[in-house]
Amino acid sequence: MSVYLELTADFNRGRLRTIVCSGQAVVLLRLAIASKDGDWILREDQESLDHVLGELGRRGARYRFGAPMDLRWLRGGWSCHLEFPHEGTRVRTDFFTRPPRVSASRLANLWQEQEGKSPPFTAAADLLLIKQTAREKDWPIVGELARLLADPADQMRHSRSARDLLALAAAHPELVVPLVRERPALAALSGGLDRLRIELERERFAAMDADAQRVQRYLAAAAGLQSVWPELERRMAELPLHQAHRLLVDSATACLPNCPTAS
Amino acid sequence: MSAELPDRFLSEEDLDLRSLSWEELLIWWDRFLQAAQASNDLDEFEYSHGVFAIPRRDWPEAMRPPIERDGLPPQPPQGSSG
Repeated sequence: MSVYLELTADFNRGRLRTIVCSGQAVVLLRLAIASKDGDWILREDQESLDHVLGELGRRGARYRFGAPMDLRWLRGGWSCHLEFPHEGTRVRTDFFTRPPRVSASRLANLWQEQEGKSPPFTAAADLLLIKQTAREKDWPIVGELARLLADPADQMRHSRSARDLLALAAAHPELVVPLVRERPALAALSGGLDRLRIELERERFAAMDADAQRVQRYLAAAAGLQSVWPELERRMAELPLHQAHRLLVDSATACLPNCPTAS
Repeated sequence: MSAELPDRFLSEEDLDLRSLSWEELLIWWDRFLQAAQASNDLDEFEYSHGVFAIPRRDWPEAMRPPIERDGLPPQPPQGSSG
């Protein structure tokens, strides 16, 4: 069994605490196997964090550069990153409680939808929002995820294919005008294939720029932690994870703002 | 005629995951993870997701490791045999 499925089962023993996200969710949606790292949406409560950190500690995990697994930073949108060796492989695990671009109501629905699922993983409608990153390599995934949406209106909201959009508009002309208000690129439907392609690319680059700006805000806010990280990492390497965690929390309290936009 | 072909985002091989049984998917998934270990040295400083998920070379200069800041290989830690 995939180490990520084993981890997910252990993280969720007795209660749903984590939902597989990003690259491994793409595998579970049967679109592609393209990532060797594991990402999870973590439930934003203390018991969940304690349990997951305990499971990672049992496996000899260590922190990579990032925020501590602590509600104060996770509520501010930070991510935390740990890795451990497993049967000759390096297993990387990334966690966040507030996935980018997913609204609080969508997130609440996701937790409800995934209750009792094994394995729980992010649905296409949420994953395509998370995957709208500054990285080129994520966008083909967004394109295929949009094709998994059942509702033609949702497909028109998210499709990356000009041909698909033209076909959808022909089949559901009543959807076009209301959706143009939500997605201005759809106004180019009347201009034909090339014009629509250009507008879709403008839209994509704008989304990539927005994500890059978001990440840059976090990077700038992490500069203080970075300056102490080499020494902190050396000290954490000698400690079991629960002690290393406390050390990281102490350092983060001093030099990592809980929310970068508030710094 | 190319105008009749659908837009493609992923390869046929990628999308063929849909035809695998669950057991076949698990085997294929594990094989990929094993094979992907070959690039561990190359992505030591990379993050796949979260708020650090842009290439490390694009981080502010002071936050980059020496190999990407100066084009020099990183120094082995004290006491390392490598």
